[in-house]
Amino acid sequence: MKTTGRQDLSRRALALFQRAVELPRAAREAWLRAQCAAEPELRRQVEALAAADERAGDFLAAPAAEQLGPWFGETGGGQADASWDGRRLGSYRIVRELGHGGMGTVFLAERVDGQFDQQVALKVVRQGFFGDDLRRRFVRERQILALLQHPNIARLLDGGVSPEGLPYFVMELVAGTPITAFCDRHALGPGQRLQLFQGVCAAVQHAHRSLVVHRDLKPSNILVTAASEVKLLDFGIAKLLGEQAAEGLTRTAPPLTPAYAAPEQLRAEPVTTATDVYALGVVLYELLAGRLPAALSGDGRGGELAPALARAAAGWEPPRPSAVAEPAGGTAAAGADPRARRRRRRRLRGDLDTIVMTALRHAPERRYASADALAEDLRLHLAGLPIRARPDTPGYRLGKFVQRHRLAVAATALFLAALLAAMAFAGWQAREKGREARRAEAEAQTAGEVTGFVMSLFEGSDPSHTRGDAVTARELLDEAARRIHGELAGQPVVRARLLHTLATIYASLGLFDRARPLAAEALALRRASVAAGDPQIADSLEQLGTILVQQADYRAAGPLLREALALRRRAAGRQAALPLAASLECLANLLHKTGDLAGAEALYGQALAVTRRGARGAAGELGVAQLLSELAVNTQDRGRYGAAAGLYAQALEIRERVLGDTHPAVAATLSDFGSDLVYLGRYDEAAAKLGKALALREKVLGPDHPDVGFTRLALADLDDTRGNYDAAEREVGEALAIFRRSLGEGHRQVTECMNFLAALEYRRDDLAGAEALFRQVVPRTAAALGDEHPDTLSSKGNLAMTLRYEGQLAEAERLLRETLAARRRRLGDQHIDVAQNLENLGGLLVRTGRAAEAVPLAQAAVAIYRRALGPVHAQAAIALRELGVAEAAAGMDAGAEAHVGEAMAILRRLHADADPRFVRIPLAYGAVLLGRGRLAEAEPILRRALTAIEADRGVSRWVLAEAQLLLGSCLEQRGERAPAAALLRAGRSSMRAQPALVGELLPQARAALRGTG
Amino acid sequence: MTAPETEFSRLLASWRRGEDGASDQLFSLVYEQLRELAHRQVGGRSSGETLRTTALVHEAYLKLVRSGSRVNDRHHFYALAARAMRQILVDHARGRAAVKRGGGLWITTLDDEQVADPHAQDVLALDEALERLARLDERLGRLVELRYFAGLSIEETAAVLTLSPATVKRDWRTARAFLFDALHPSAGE
Repeated sequence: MKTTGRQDLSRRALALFQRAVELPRAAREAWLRAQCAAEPELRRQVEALAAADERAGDFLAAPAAEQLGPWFGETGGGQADASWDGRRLGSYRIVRELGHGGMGTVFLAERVDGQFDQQVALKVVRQGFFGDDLRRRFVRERQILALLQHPNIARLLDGGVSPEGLPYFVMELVAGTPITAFCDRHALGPGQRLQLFQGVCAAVQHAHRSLVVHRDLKPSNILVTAASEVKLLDFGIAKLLGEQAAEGLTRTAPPLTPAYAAPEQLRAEPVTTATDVYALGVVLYELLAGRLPAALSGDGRGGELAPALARAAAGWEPPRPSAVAEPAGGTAAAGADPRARRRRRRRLRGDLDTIVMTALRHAPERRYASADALAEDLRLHLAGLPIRARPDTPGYRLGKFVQRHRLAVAATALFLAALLAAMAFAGWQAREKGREARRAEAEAQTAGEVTGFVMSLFEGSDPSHTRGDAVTARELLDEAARRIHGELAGQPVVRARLLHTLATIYASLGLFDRARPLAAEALALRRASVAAGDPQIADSLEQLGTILVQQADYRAAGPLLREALALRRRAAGRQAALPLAASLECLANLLHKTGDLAGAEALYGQALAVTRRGARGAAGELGVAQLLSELAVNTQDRGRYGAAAGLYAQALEIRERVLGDTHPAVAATLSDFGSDLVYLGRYDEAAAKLGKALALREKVLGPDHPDVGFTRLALADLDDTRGNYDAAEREVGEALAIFRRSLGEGHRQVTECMNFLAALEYRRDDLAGAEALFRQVVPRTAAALGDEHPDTLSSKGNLAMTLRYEGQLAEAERLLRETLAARRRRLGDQHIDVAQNLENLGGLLVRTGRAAEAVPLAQAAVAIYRRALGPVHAQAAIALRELGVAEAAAGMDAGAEAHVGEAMAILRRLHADADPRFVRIPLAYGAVLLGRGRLAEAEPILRRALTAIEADRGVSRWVLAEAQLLLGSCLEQRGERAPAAALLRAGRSSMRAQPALVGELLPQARAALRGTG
Repeated sequence: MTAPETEFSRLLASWRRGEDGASDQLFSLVYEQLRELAHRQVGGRSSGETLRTTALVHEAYLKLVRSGSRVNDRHHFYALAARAMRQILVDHARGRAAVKRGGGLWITTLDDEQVADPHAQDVLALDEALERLARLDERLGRLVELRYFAGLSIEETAAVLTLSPATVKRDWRTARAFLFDALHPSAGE
């Protein structure tokens, strides 16, 4: 029989193949030819099996049910559930079931009111039941999602919870095909796939801008309609359901789809926009390579949770797409043609590999910063332009470098090799070409390339964020710096350029000690070898000056930066505006740091004008925004918080417009803006800005990023200002934890948080607690920054003030004298830190009965503040009060009244006369009036002050007592016995509990304390 | 009154004695047990996570056979379980494929069902090809059931079929080539 004959043949083919597979490939052919000599059909069948064997890949590698598991979740074994038909949920009526899966059922539904002739998809989630709390949150979150409107995102129209507690969603009904299936079905080439995928990125970016993260991007959520339109489904729903599932357990739900889950999702770590970028990378991988990234790993069971977890734990990164790609096409044709495969793989090698691998990086912060950035690189690639992402290994780039220069490079360290090769090449080229002009040109060109190459290796190594990750590179850098001295002795220009480059790298790593001598040497070489007006000299001057500013060596920095600016000004006619603006900015930053705020303001203004005039396009605008925010900080320091707010608003507008509203720089501006609003007392606006900055930074950078810590500190500042010390302490605690995790225990930012905590203890009158913390902060700061760094001196000053209020006056005085001397040495006589120091020392001298000595110190402080901050500034008012109090104690009554009165007038002009932070000014004024017997004038002032103190939890108890004693004394003298007695009793009892602070009271209050009552 | 495990042992003994109907009863017992376990395993999860076949089969084994039973019983059980898993999947695939043919529309969903749907067709096609393979070589057919449907490893499969792992490996490669060729015939034919 024919069938039997055929079966027999197939059986023999199987048997032959079984034996053939055990033969070496080379011998197989001859063996088969011999076995099938006269039977071409038999041979064809065996060959078909052999071909299938080669093509099978991971066919059947994963057990059947592992891919089909969701089926089992259904009830009714695949039968439609008719009981829902015709049911009404919200304003929708269910028409019929469209399908169902492990998580629930999707129905076709329409509006009950027939208002719109619109059919929708209604999904009922069969998963758990919603309690009242969850139900409320569900509805709230759902409203946020409903605001997400984008042509490429399926609209969430409605949603709610059914009477039996099942959540449901109403969505735009999309008729489409998963993107992978769509591309395969239409046999789209890589270019068309990339174009389609860009639409996906745009939709994801839109959602991210609204701070909605998808969390479960995968082809089945990315549909393509018949009109080739991309539609993303289920945005944000994963989070909604995940939170419900994870309620009370962890903050992150387990990943929904292991094959597309980012490592942080698998590790149940917080999810950010970077998580979606990873999933986009997986989808792009699949579109280009025709398989999942994990398909080749381990046992090939790419979709399973356990191997995915193991991969995440091991820091696994997938093979490059070009290494595994199979050409697209229907399943029947898949992988058959080795030429097609080679073509496809060649197409992917290079840019596309880099783009995909950048999206798939293990560490979220090393991926593309946004879906937009990913899309932009795809655009650049499609346009044939260089992409922005860089492959991971320096080896690759070195390869390119060497290739371009056809130079043999033999060294163990790739980085060093590249650098030295460039040096050798420069020397060789110069010798070969001989002629002076050409030599200079060659030097410039080569050195420019070296700089670009070396610099790019260190991209993103921001000193505040690096935590020794660059160690290997740093070792190489040290080696390069060591060897640079021996090389190129006769090539001063090239050598200077390389030194300059190395200095820049060290500086960008925060290693200013190492950068400084290199920069200095480069400057010396250039002064000796190039023409006097050469811009290279200005480059070196600015570099060294900036390094010195970073080291707080302001005195040495000043002349260098001024010389650089003069050079730039002279060259300005012939040069682009940007170098001049940059030079102005460097000097302005220095003046700002040294407390010459008026001078800094003028220079920032000039830099802004130059930039606005000379720079065009996005770079120019961003330059303006940068200068605006620096000017804003300076303006803020001058106490002109309102003007600063205007500048921040301008900077914010530019950055949002140019960078999009989720860019980290936007978050930074929001954060600074928020801090400024705190000073302006616009607390609600401040809270809104800071809250937005925090949310943005957490989403974009992840919750453990140092920048999140900075915004938390600003929020703590807001809480502190509002007197919410518990909240402030919590925020600082969070920030401290972030900095410890992300920057390490020894980092300066950790110390600054401790300083903040100490200040909070101080304000809460826990002086012992504050002292203990400040005593840790001082040596930590000194060790990190040096004994005379402004920050070290500030923490010493803080310790001194704590000791003063604890009554340890001798040690306090010693510290204040130390810091004053150091500040004068370091910052000059006119710095506001010096003024603050003078004022504090003056107060201490009054406290210890040396008022006459204190008066000149207070006078000097007032003069400095007036000069630096302008006449109407709260700092000046505080200093005037100190001066008046000192004068009163020294018996200079006229001066006392005039100066305290002046302080009071400033406060009134600032509308701050009821501000609890400055309340000791009205108290002093009231006391002066009281001393002069002007009771009627004193009473309302003292009353107002007392009310302000009572309304604020942040004022020390002894200041409250002081106010009670003063007002009590005033009322007593006016004959209002009963209220006076109550106030005096309260004040006296309070001071009995804190005898060490009696000496801090104003003389009039002390008299009331001892008084006759 | 009869607990599943004793039921299974009793049926297995009857089957060994060659009693009529014992085989069918055994099969439906394993089928139901696996289905129930599968539902429970997936039902208790928050999303369309994958099913751990091997764990499922082992769990069913523990429920039905209990430890301390004879090695032979275990092998019989696995063979049965493999067939039952295949049947379960094919039954589901039939339902699935029918739904898909009816709709023909990819719709918004909460899980992977769109991805699973094409598999429904694949499973049915595979089932047919597997029938053909079993007619050519029964051992290869059983091997695919054990490896693919029950998710047994090479070593476990070798134990159940009392073959060497090397033979199982070779047979598996052959069966896979046959099935792949049947489902994705190469061009030029």
